[in-house]
Amino acid sequence: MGILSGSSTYLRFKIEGEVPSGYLELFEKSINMRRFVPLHVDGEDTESIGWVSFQKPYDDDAEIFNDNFLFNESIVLGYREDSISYPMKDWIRKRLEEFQEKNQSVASWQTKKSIEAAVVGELRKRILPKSKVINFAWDISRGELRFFARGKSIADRFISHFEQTFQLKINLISFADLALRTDMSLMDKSLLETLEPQEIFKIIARTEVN
Amino acid sequence: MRANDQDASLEQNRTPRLRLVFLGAEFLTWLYFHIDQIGCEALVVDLIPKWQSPIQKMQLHIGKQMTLKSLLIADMRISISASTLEERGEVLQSIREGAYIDSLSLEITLGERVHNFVVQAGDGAITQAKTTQLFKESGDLGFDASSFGSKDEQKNEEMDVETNLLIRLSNLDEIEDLINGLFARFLKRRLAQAFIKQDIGAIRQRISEGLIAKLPKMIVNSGTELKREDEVVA
Repeated sequence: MGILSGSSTYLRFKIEGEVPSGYLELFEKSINMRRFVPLHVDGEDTESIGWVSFQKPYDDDAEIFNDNFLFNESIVLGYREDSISYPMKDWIRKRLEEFQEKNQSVASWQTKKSIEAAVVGELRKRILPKSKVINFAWDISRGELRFFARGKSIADRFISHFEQTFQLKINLISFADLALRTDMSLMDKSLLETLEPQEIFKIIARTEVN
Repeated sequence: MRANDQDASLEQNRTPRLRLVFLGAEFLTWLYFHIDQIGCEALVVDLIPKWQSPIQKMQLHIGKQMTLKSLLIADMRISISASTLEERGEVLQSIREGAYIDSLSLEITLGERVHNFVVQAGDGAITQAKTTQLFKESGDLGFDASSFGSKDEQKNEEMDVETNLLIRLSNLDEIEDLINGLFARFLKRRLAQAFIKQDIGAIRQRISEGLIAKLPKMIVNSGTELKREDEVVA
């Protein structure tokens, strides 16, 4: 949402370091190595993350080639997170009650564990994972990236996956960061280093209107 | 180690990024009061060099929403949405009481292109950015088939998505260039010796005049305090 239509909300990031020469082949390989793999119905993992084509984020079988992610000088991809959670409590309670009724005895710790495992297996086949796709656009020439979401936890997970994939560090571009990156004289730099939130507006709070 | 020493040590250990986080709120507050003094045409030509070709209309305005955050009272946040935010009493009063602008919506017109967006002071995020698109929005792809022959629709679709994407990203570039340029101007002023005297002085004056204009039933006492008429009579 937001990269092609509707309103966009995004965080800005600076890519630290140089993009390696021949990056296209390298990135295509890296992206496919960390491509999204859906949760398997017989598997035990409860979450999966990875890259998807921003145009076809739910085409799980398709490989991602450079014409799917390179647009002019921008790499545009989707970051997909699927997770599955089970409403275990009610189901386990029900099964334990059934067990007690049938056997006329309280279930042992081992029995409880096997009931839990059976419930998970049963629910896994019935419950669809929750899926989330957030797009990002990385302008190679500007060395900047837009991540089209604002949540801190998802941004942190995205950063980690990005850095692992592309072997490049990224940092949020806040106004403090913009200030620190501005070309300025040595005198201004030293002023900036010691700059404090002056009571400029607190002064107003204390100033009487005259 | 005494408690004060520990505080000082913690302060020194904070990264510059964390230490300077206040610049975002100061910038938006400064911008709110100085936006009408920034020559729009010169600003756009200066900030967005690729648009130096003649553009008939260039305007930069405050949008329709903002939030203010108090630095004196923790967790106090005021959201204001109105058709015009300039010289609003709530804004002036809040800033007078120590609040900073935490998010501010802006609107920039560059010829036929109009970009609306909100700038967030804390993390520098751009939110609710609406930009002029090539095609009318239709379905998921922002693609209007009526612009093209229906025979060519499928063939052109992929190319059109790409074109639309690139235009969208170029529009966001313009927004960011503008914000970066405005912030650079603010920072230059902020580091100047005359900042408090000139810029803050101007803000204080605007607030004083604005509040007095908003309070017709109040009179200014001979001293420096605002009082209601009935209080003065009593």
